[in-house]
Amino acid sequence: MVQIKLDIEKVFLVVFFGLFLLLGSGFLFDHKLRHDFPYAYLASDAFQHETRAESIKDMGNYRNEASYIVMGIEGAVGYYPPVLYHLSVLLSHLSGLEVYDTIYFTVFLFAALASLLMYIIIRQFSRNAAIISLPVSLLVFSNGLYSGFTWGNWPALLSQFFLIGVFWCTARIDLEKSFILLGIFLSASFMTHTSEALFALVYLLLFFICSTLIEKKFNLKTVKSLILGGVLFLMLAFYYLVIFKGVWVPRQPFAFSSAAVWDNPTIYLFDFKVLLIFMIAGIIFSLIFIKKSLVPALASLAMLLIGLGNYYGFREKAFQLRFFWPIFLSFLIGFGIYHMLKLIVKEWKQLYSVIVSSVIVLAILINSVPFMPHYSRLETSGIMDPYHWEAFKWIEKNTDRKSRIYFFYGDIYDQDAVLRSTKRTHALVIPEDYADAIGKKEIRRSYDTELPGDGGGGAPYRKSFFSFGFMTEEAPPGYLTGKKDICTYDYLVFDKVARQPVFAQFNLLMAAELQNKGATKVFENPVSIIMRNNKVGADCIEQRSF
Amino acid sequence: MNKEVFEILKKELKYIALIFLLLVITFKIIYFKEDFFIVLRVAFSLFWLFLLPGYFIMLYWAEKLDFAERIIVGSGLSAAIIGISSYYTGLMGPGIKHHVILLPLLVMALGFAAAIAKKKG
Repeated sequence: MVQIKLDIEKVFLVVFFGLFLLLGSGFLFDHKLRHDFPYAYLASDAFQHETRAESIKDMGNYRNEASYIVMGIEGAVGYYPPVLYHLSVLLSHLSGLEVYDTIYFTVFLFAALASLLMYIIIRQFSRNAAIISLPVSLLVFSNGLYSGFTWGNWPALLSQFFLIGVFWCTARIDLEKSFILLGIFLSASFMTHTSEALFALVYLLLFFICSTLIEKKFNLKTVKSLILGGVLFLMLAFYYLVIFKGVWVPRQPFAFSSAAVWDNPTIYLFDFKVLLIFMIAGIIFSLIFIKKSLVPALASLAMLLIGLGNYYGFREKAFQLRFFWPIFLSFLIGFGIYHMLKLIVKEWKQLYSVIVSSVIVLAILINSVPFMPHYSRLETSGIMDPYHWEAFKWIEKNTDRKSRIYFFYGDIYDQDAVLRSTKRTHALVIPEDYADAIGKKEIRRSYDTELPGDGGGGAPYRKSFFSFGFMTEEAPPGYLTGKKDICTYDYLVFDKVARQPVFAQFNLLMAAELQNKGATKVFENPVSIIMRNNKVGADCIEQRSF
Repeated sequence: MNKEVFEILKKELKYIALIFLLLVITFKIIYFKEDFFIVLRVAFSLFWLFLLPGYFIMLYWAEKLDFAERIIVGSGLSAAIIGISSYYTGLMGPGIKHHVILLPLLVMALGFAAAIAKKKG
């Protein structure tokens, strides 16, 4: 009998895992694992992560940032948390898929595993509550949260998986050498997206306080595991901790401030609709059973409070944590439903939990069910298209590594990390100045220009092991932005189509003017033209009115 | 070599093979437009990078944790270990393409050795 019960559970888990991936990535990826270009990428951040991972694949390590990521500056120290990038490159090497496919897939895979890991944590306390809680996780693909995936908040999402790993460690703190597991999960969280690791430390402090209060004694074994886990974390993460302290802390110092709203899609408590009632019931019941349910209850409550931290100081970091709210808070909702139903049905069987769970799945999937938050199906190829991708790859494969590329107006270039796909130092015209030239009917040689790139870290370099300088701060005035002479660039890229046709028409006129003065058209497809400037630094275009 | 560890391995490697089969079937259903051999290769890659190293690390705790818990936690743990160690190994010299074989093998060997040592100790 026990064997049959276990099998039902495993079948349930396998079906859920498949359903999670189908709803999250199956439709979005057009039911393919391999694509011809970065598919379903909806924002610049997604390209930022993909291109960095791609650069690590090219370089073989993450000692330095690729120059095309940091505004053409050579030798900047690799400063972003590295774990997601390395995993996606390893998966790319092994599977033969491109990095732009593996990095995206990795995030969905570990989101599915995050749901299962939360299930394991809840199951230790109540198998029925775990089964009922699991489908709530599907709401990570609801309207306000799906953007966490599609807009490229990938390191935060993977780090939240490792954060759940930290919760699991506290649920199993009595295991022999549990500190090893704790130290590894904590390090991975920190080296994937640091803010989650800081939230993990808050959770661990709360766990220590609450378990001490509940047991009414100072549990030396728990303290020992927490301290040793912390020591292991310091050892494993030491090298990156130095980079974090030397680069991120001075460059982007965290200042506590409140923010009621975020400029990205997100979820608010009232978006849980009827589930909010069960959540409140779950909070009450879990407090009643806190001795037994400490870890799932504390983890959920802590993530609820930190996720509301935007109101009291955590700013966008709190909103980022909400991407996994449906997973974090699933226990409260599932436990609330379970206990409310148990008030009616005294003899509860596991099969009932599976039925309730299936009903929740249907209620989430069927949009006409009232008062429920719903799954939001998304099918889009994203902001990239095969023609732009073809142009970018042409540049990568056919131009000298030191070539400098100038991009004129293109609709997708406001998501400027797409331009890093060329793997060349690039500059981008500022649309307002370009529009000004169009308005005044002037063909100019210089335009207001930016060097797009990842400036957050300031292109750091090491002064010593513990001290860093920042090349962007030492760059000459006007290096990053200002009037630039287009004739100093090796290649010039023009889009032939635009939402506002006047931009495309002016692009074509500029390309023709360059050609008149000796530039060569080296690439053309239905959306892009690439001109090679054969007179770099010389007079490559005639300035005139038209 | 410890007989008990091998008994566990003998029993559970069948489950692991079953998981592999289920993973291939599940992926083929979800990503039905994809070539079968791509699906197979991706499933194998996930096994090699995450599931197998995770399984071997968690062998140390086989007496306390059931198979499902060890597989789920182990996969995450393997991702953590391999992600971190790949970063440091790359900084020290060997390029990342060499890590693909080396690191999972090393993690599996260490996990297996730890489980044996525990039984002996």
